[in-house]
Amino acid sequence: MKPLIYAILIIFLFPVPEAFPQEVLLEKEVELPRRTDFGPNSRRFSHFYLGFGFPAGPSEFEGAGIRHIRSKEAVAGRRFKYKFTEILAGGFDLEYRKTSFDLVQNAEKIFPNNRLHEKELLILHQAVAGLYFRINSGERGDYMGTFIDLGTDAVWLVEGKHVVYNTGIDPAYEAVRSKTVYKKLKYLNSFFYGAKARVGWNRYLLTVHYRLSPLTGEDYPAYPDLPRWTFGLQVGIH
Amino acid sequence: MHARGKEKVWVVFTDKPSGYFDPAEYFDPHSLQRRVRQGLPVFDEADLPVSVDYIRRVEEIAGRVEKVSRWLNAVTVYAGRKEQQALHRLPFVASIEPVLRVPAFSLKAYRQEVPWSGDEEVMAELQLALLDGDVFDSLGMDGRGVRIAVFDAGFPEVDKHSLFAHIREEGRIVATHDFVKGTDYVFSGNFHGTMVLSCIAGKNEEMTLGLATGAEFILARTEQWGEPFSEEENWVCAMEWADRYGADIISSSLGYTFHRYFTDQMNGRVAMVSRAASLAARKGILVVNAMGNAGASRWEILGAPADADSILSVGGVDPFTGRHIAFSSFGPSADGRLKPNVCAPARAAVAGRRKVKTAYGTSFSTPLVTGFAACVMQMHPEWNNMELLHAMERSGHLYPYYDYAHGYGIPQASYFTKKKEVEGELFTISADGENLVVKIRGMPPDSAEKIPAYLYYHIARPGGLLKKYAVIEVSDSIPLVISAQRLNPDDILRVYYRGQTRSLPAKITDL
Repeated sequence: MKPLIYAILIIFLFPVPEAFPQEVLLEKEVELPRRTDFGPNSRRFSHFYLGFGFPAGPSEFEGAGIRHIRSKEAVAGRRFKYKFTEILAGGFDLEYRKTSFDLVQNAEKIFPNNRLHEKELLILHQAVAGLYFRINSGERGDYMGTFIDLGTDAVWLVEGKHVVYNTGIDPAYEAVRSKTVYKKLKYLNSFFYGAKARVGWNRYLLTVHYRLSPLTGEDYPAYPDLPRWTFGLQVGIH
Repeated sequence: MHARGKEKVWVVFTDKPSGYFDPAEYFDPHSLQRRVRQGLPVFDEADLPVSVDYIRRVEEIAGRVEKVSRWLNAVTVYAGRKEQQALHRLPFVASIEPVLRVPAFSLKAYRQEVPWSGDEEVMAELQLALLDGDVFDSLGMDGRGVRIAVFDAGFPEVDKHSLFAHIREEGRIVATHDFVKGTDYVFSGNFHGTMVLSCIAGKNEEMTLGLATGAEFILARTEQWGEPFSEEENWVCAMEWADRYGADIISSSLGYTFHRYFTDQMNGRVAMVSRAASLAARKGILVVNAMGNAGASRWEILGAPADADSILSVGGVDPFTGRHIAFSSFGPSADGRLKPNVCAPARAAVAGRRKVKTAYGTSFSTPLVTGFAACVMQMHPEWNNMELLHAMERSGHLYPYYDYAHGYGIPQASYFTKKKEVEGELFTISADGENLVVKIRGMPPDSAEKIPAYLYYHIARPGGLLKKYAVIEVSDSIPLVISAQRLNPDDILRVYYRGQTRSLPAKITDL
């Protein structure tokens, strides 16, 4: 019985192809173009995007200063867009975001403590879900065009890391430089939210984000907040 | 956008109140000759001027009129929302449409797998040899007496480059206009136009790059930033201007795709430029337009105005294989018409600033075909533009076979001079049980054929619209077996191999 089953399986799994050509150099099935629901300027669209940015602006107190430009942010995500009219659209983003604050080392430093190091980073790995509303300009074809986005996002801090680098450590370690990573940072909030705005030209976007809720928890009032603004650039992959 | 809240729009009028029009005064004698030769009326309503009164009324509402199109019976102006509403209320305004100002085809340095020595002289010989250029040369056909309009992004150095010395010395640049700046100086801007022109008529002591070295030229700069930015209104106005100055052929390597349109709109009826191109065809001009370089992108199909009816749309092939080159846009038009009509090398030797170089794109297939068409027009001045277009199709190396990557293939000059040699039956199509079998009768010797011998086949619906097409390499006596089960009874299987085409209904019982 088994051979019969195998034969039936072969017939159904490997149906007779339409043709048995030799080396096929070009082969096209022809379908006349028709308007579809999915596209940059169609009813719905989704695409991946990558971006980077720089935290900016002042910290809450001088003792929690960051080194600008050296502090940075990288994002990767997928954007879902729904077209309402030729001008209005909206959607949501699902994003991974990594923010790295490079903390200033000076006598005033109090965040997260007053110890000084050669280099000190606060690294945040975040999962982000955002909503946005889009205003497009100009009539266009199957093309994203020029637009402004306004939106908000909710952030779950997946992991926060406090990383310090030092040199000239205990010679017993037979090392010149050390890197110490502190995890499960209790003084950081697990959830926060923010507002964002973007200006886009097809696949290129300038972004600005403002964190509306504090990074540090209510139980740690002595911990000042870090800069809330981030300016960046995104590239849509579509 | 010109100013805050204003956009450039076409204001299309309902009619043309009768006014004074003297065709002998308006048209160049060459333009009148073309009309008379083709049995067309000396002028029609489209040639009549746009009402001065209508223009004045529009200017009262929206300010200065930018461009005027007789053919479209329209003007362009910058107008805000309120001004557009006021214009709409005028009884003689039929519609208001936005003016396109978007990227056109991009000129990218596409690379193919075939290694290239970099010898431009060999490339120049190849691009003309693929079109049987020697045949025209031996007959002394070089497009003399034919007037070709070239639309592009500027023609820098055409006024001094050695490849165009023969044209300048004989005074064969008969008119120039920069529709971007509104001047007659076109020898600046993007070098793309110079490269394109060289593929029509470029020649020096070492090499010849195009076939129409004896033609006359009308040069129009229609694109502001070269590729990619351009404005459709310039293209439309350049069409009318070229007609006025007697263009027999218009060669354009311009096209609009996703920035303004959706693929289903590539039917020749939506885009302004496509409508203008069809109108030019009705006035006896052969319009030759590039298919575009979107073949490997998400858009994939042709751009406007290559979708226009009655124009010759040109696809690209690799000169070393004679096959579709990856980036060349595919047909058909959205309403199922055959596009491209023909194809030509999209990898060509062209004028560079210092020396001849190799460039890629259907931008260069188009002028090669334009030069070819000029030679045919010189041979057959009695043909009208549509007779010429169909003859060009019939001269394709694949004809009567066609597909949406190659059209009817690469035009062959020998078609116009000698009868096709009838070889014995090179292949057969037969039924073997439930299959259709293509069998080669004796494998060909490994001869160096000008265009490599591949087997092309398509499956066509009864109206001619293809369901599928393919190109396969023949290395066996049975290169193709098709299961008839998968075909509809009314489908046609058509196979091309080494100059022969056979077709059979898929219905096995009909064999």
